[in-house]
Amino acid sequence: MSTHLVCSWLRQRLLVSATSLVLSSVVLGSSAVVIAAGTPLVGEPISPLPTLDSLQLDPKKIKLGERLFQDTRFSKDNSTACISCHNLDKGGADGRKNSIGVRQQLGTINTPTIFNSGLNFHQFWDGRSDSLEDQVDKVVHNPHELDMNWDDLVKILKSDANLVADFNAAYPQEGLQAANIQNALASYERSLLTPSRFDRHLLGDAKALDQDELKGYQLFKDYGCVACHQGVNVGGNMFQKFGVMDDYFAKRGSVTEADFGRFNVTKQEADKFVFKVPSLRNVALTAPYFHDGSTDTLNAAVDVMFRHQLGRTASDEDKRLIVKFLNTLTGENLGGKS
Amino acid sequence: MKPSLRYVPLFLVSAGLIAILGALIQKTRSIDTTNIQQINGQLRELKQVDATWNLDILRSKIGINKNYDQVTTPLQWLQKNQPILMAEVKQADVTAIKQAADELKTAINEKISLVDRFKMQNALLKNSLRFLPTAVGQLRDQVEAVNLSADSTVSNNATTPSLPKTFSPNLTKLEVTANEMLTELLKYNLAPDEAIKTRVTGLLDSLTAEPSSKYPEQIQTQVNMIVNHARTILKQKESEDQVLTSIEQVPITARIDHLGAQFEQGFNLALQEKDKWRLALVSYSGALLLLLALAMFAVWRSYRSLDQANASLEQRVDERTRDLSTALGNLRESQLQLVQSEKMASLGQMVAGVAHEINTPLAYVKGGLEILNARMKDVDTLVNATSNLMTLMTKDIEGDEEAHEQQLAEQFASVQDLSSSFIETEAVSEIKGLLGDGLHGIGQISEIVSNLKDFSRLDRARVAEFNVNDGVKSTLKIAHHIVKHRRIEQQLGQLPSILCSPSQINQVLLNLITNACQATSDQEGVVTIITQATEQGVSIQVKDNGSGIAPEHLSKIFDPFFTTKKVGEGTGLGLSIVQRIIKEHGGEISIDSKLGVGTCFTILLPREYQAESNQEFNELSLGEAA
Repeated sequence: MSTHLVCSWLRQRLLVSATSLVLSSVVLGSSAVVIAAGTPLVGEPISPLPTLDSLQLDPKKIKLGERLFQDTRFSKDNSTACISCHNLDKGGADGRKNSIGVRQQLGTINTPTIFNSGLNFHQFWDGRSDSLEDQVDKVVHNPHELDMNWDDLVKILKSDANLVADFNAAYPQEGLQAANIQNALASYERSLLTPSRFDRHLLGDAKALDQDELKGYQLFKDYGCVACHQGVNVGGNMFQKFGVMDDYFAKRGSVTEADFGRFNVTKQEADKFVFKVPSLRNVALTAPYFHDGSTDTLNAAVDVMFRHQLGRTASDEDKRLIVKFLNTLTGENLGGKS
Repeated sequence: MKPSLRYVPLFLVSAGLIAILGALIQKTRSIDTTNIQQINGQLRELKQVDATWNLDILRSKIGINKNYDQVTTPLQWLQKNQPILMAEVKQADVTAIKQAADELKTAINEKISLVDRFKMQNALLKNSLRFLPTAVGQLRDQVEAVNLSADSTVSNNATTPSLPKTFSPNLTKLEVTANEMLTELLKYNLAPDEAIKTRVTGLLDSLTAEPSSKYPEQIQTQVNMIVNHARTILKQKESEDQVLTSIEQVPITARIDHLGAQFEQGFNLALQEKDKWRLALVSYSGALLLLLALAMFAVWRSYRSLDQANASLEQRVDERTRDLSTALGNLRESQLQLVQSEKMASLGQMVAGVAHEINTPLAYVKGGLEILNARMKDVDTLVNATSNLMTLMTKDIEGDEEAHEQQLAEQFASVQDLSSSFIETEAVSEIKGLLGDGLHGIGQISEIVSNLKDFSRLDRARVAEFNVNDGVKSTLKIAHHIVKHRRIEQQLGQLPSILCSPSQINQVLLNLITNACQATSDQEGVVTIITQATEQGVSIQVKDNGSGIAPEHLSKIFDPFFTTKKVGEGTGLGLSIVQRIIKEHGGEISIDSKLGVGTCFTILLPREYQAESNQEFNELSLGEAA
């Protein structure tokens, strides 16, 4: 992790200032010392989280977004805020099968975690949003979620002189307006990265994981979980059909519209029951599992995956080890986030 | 029309011309090449991204890429840069460009969805490919385990159902088939071939051909899993190849090139357009310059004609001046003639008076002389008789004395008669009286002539020390025939001599006194003349108790040719000349009049004559004309 930090810092340093060769060599020399402490693993299907600094987010916007994230004025009946479903104390989700939106309405789908959501290639289970900004827009308008519209919301928020002033500071050109509300929230959400013990392991910290966890990671790779749950976010960069090797919905029964997944976006038959592969970061905190919140425990979820996605079975011991590994993906300093 | 309004159309036209020029300049403003460069740069970058993308897809396929992050990064690039490119497209506002951009966008979206599909399939394929050898290995282990247990069963218990024995060759065959299928499938995965696929399918069919009850449940499950994964591999491999082919076929590069070409074309069109406008601008500027030249020519011409007009104007002014001076000369002449006629009129009046004055003594001088002439006959007779008597007395008596004596006595008696009648009629004293009368008459005439000379001062300098009181007296004498029927009251104060033109002052006095007399009636007319010394000089008042002047006439009283007299009786110049004379002397004249009460003229004259050598003034002086 620290080496990564140093490397990115070094890169910036070289790019930005392009100072004298002497200085560069000094910096290189100092970084070499850090690398010696732990060499980042190479060729792993999972990459460590980027540093917050490398995202180059505006602290003012993050701060503003954090405030908005907790603002119940976003909902029509002033009852619900972003944080209502994306509770940072509950792994960035709400721990419910289906979330409760405006006017105590029950949602149609399980809430994904807000943590590291900026690293997902699309937002929502069906990937209907290309960006966090757009995700905000869709949640605000969703009659089951916030049931708001920008005109009213902007009008309401504009009566808050304090907020208007902060917007003017963060967005000197346009101030408080819909696009900037979205951007502020998205900026805040992008900042919600949760570096874990596993990241330290990837960055070369040999003592980050214990033997069981290391075995679990190996099994995770061997059983092919990693075919989908890979990349920096351990998922979140592709779609996959739920029930490839065995029909999940036939067994579960009562198929809802939400179960059609990506099909609802593309209307292509091949996209039926296709969902965004969720990130497994903080997965230990975000029960219940799957888009329908049908599974309460991580062990059961691993079982479902083996049966329906991998088309194979595993021993209880292997599954236990895999679950141990999955626990290492939990952010180490979530207290700071919530 | 107001002058400001008159310039409005001109202003509007100028503004219009300038606006057109401005518009043309705007149209010909050099095209921002940075823009097209930026677009080209972005398209190049997109191409680069696409190429890298393709490479990453292949890397993922082969397994060099350990995850799909790299295959996903182009989305981030697109999310950031596509709106910029689309903004450029929108700004270009050309249908062809929009169409090309839409086509490109469609292609990109198609590729995105194909890549999503690829990831799905690739993950499954990888998973199954990874697992299948393990699964076949597991099958082998299971078959071995079954065979071992079968052997042990056979050796340990012969009576037990021989079913496992029948398994043995079948199971071995199953294992062989599975192994063969695995080999073929891996071959197929490396080099997809229809023949291999058929073989694999055949082997898979044979694996599932036997009824499930034939094998132990555990082996059956394993076989089903193997077949399931093998079919997945076949299916995913095939569709992965299709997807990859489709990805290859997505014409992103072509569409980028097309869009670039469209931008280029738009740019070239804009350049051509700009050239056209430039030509228009040049033409327009030329036309404007021509217009300017024409305008300058017009200005030059109008200046020239203005010069000419100026020159001719001077000439015309000269002519007009000449005309005017001629007219003025004529006017002066006629004015002089008028003045002259006024003088003549005054003179006429004066001459009439003077003639009357002279006539009376002349009449009795003439009468006396006529009587004298008649008396001269008696004197002549007496003288002749006396002469004859003297001759007789002194003559020698030659003849008849007595006759002589007789003759003498007769003659004597005749002379005696004549002389006694002479004495009796007091003829001599009568003649003496007649002669005295004649002399008196001549004396009177002589006095009149002397007064006339005094009045007109022909014998004195034009400007001289003068006592106004003398002038009053002299004038009254001259105007005797007019004033003799009025009561003239003279209140002449002690006056200093003033420097003036005496003849002109006399003319003024004569005019005012004459007017005063004419305004009054014979019986009750009183004309009062008052002279006083003032600080500056003298004041003269001529007052009458006559009819007065109507107020409406009062303001015009000094106007030339204004008169209330009948035509032919007055010229109307009298008071006008009076006013001028007084003004020329630096004095003042005022009038105070009430209808039925009388009129009073007041003149103030300064002690020092304002020695202005005024031609007109001199010309107007009566003295010169007299």
